[in-house]
Amino acid sequence: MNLTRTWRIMHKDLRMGPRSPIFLYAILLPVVLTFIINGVFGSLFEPTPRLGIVDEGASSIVAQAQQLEGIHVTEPSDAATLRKMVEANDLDAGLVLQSGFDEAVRNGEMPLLQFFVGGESLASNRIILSVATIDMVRQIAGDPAPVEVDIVTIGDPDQLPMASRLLPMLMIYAVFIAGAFVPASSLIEEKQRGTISALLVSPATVYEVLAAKIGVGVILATLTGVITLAINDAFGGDALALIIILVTASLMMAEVGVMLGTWAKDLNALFATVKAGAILLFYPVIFYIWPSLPQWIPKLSPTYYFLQPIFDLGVRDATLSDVWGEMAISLGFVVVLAPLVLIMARRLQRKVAIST
Amino acid sequence: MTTTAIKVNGVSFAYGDTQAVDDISFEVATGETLGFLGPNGAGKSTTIKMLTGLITPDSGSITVLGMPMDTDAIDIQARIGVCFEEKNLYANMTAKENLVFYSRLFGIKGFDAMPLLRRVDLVDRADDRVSSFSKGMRQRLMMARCLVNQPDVLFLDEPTDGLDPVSSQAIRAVIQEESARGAAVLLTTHDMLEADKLSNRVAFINEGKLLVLDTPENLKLEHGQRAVRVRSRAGDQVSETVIPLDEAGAGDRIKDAVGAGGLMTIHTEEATLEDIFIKFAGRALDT
Amino acid sequence: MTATTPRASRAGIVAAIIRKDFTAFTRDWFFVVISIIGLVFFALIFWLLPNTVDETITIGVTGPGIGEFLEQSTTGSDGIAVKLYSSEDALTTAVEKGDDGVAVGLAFPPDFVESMAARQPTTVSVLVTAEVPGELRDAMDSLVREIAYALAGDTLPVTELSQNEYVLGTDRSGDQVSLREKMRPLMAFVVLVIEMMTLAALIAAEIQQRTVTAIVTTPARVSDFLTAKVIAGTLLAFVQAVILLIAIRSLGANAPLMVTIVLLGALMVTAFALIAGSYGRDFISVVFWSMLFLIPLMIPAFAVLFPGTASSWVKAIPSYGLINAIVGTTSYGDGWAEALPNLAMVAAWTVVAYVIGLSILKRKVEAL
Repeated sequence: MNLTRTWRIMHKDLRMGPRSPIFLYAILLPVVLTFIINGVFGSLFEPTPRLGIVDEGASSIVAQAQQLEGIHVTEPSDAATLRKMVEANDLDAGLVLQSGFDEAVRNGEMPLLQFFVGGESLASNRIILSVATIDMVRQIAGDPAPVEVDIVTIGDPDQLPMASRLLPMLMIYAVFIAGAFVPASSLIEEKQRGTISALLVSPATVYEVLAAKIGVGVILATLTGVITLAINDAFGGDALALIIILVTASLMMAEVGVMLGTWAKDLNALFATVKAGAILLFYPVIFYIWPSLPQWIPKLSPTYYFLQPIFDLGVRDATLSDVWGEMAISLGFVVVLAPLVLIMARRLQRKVAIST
Repeated sequence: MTTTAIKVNGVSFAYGDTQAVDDISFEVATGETLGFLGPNGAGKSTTIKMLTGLITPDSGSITVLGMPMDTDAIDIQARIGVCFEEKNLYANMTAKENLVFYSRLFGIKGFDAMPLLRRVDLVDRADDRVSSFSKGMRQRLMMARCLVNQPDVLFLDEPTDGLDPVSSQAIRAVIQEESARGAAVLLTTHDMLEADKLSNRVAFINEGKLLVLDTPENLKLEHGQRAVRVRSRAGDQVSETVIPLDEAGAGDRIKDAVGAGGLMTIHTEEATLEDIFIKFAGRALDT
Repeated sequence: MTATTPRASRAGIVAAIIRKDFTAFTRDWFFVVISIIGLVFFALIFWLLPNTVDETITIGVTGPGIGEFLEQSTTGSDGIAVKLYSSEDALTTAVEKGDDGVAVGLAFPPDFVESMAARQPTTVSVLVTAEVPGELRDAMDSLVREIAYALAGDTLPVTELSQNEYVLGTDRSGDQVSLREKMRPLMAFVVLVIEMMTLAALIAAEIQQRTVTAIVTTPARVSDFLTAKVIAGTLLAFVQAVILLIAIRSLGANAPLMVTIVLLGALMVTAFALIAGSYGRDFISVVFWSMLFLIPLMIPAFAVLFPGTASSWVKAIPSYGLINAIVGTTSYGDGWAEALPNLAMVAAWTVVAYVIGLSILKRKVEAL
């Protein structure tokens, strides 16, 4: 195999690539997804209780409420607006503090506590907001409870937030689209336009052509992977190990991509196969989102063996020595796929020869 | 009795600043085949598009079968057949299905595709998908498709371009049959041999302008050079003499050449349409 | 010469093109099979989603008398469930492992009741794991103090609202809309927009292969071609969406309304498909253009997964009315009267999209 020729074919693909929408997708979409996940999906799995307060006097409750951890406090302009928001489930609960409320509490006048909840608010949020409000009122009354509360954290103190657990989903998407889909679609376009025939009647061999496609996939997927990790604040720690595993992941996906590209007769077939079959590569991400699910199931997918090291290195600050086992298995998959790629290469050569 | 099937009067069309067709006028009678000769980009396909109602001329008038194109396009399209340069068939459908679908657009009920497929020698492939067809087979199917509605006028845009001799011959046979049936045929090509064989008259078009329109024989007679080519051997030497027939003393020169002995071959030559085109256009057909 | 050629009616021509479109679509059996598999997959995902909403905080409690006191106090509340444990060790294990769904543990000392009655200060441990959110920890902190106040005889220094003033709107406690329910509009919409891509690809293919040119040189008009594409595309999207809705049992009590909503949705996505198909040069660019519409159109479907009213900019998206109508009908039992404003909005957007889509495609075809 002539590396110079392979590089020339790769160079052509890299130069032409930015004109192709799928190439741009591969770079841009992980950025878009990161934005969606972090900016929009943040509250999907962990909805924080939402409290609205209308303070018609200068109550100290508002300042107290804003110090509360994990409760989202809003101050609508008036009680009518507050009630509308609560009823529309824009807030879980509302509190209207009439003028002189604090004074009345201190004086033992038992003022009316205008605290109401929305019909669609979760019962758990109602409890949380109710006890929080009562606690704030007690503090105004100034009568401390005869009990001290000691909060004890047990088990693993390092449980991860949802945004971190969604990182594998971003990574598999980035690596798959750039590493597999780009080479696959490029190969199919070459077949459809007939340029593959022109390549194969030149000194370039079919192995060099596929190697070039794999090369493009690896470069693009690694780059996309680095960008995705960086914008998700996960490219710290052992950067070299991260790059090694990204390259391995990209190689695996690129091999899958060229096999898909040689097999699929057109882009419709490629798209349909990906639509139906990609779940086998993507499903491990579910087990990061819900860690209580049996963790042996994702180990049946080859993508687990690069997702887990990336997760450990990027999120849990692991080092190469912690992840070398999975990385080795990942590399093993790359080696196992190689003969299949060669078989598909010969098949491609035969198909092109017949159809020319 | 022949009537005028196609009448084009002072028609022009421009794509932006490019004048694709510039003030052309001609007529085609029923049963006549008019060959439109010109290089790529001359305006042939644009002319066909105007005559088939795909585009509207910027100026001038077009009448087909006595009906003005600007008001009666639908009625005209019901009676014409068009064979495009692009093989715009439905690849996932069979040959039969392509023809049946097309027939429905003309409102033909109970259409039987087999006679047409037999005619273009595709009856054995009637139920095969077009995606499995060779270039020649697709072109023959294109020909069959443009005959679905038994048209009175046929517009054929490069019908034999890139085809093998067998397929080309099959296409030419169909064209001649249709012309004999009385259909007017407007045929564009840059193959002068084909134009010569098929056309009653040929028109040369270049850079949007109609340069000349006449029968091939008249064009060659008026604008071409006839000659006699004599090949003789003297010992080991073979010589060739070309004697233009239009020059004075041509007959004597022929006699001398023949009488000189060692005669190997003697042929008459006449100008080709390409020679005449070059004379008119200043360029070859394939440049 | 030919006999007089019969003239096809406009309807006949449109029907012929539609028939051809369905033949072309179904002819690629692999694509059809994969589409079926996709529908099955969506339905499967739907049924695997949780059908209940966990809105209960399960508290593990140890300490004599306290558990029973808490159980009595929280009877009838959907927000708290109490589990009693015999020892602090058992409680710690339960909290750590999440046994019985216990989220937090309250370890009261054995003499807590007596201490509170005598107002003797004492310490209570609140056991939590790292993933317990801050607001829940604080709430347990407050709850323990309230228990202490109650046992010490200190009443609340305020008057509370009556029960019927306390809850605004329909009280859905214990009957919340589950994630599975919320996913209905998203699922239906995903099927619609995927078929948008299919139709866009079919249109792009007709333009690139110039088969549309062959059609418009017959008595068929460009308008016939466009009409056929709209009908074929709408039918394709509509039928698949209805199949999915049946599979996920979403037609519900008001099936005619749901069918109308889905039909409007199918019409809308077809309009966008006309635009995507006009600009797509090949399959990949068609996917690209389709995604440009698909992503913003999907935003309202994701927005319903969050509590509360959608932001103004989300309401301005063409598909918002559609999603709102589906949610209203399937989750809240809305009828025609409630759905009508949403449907009117969708219809208006659909008209706009068609005006744009048809003019773009018409120009594209005429320019060939």
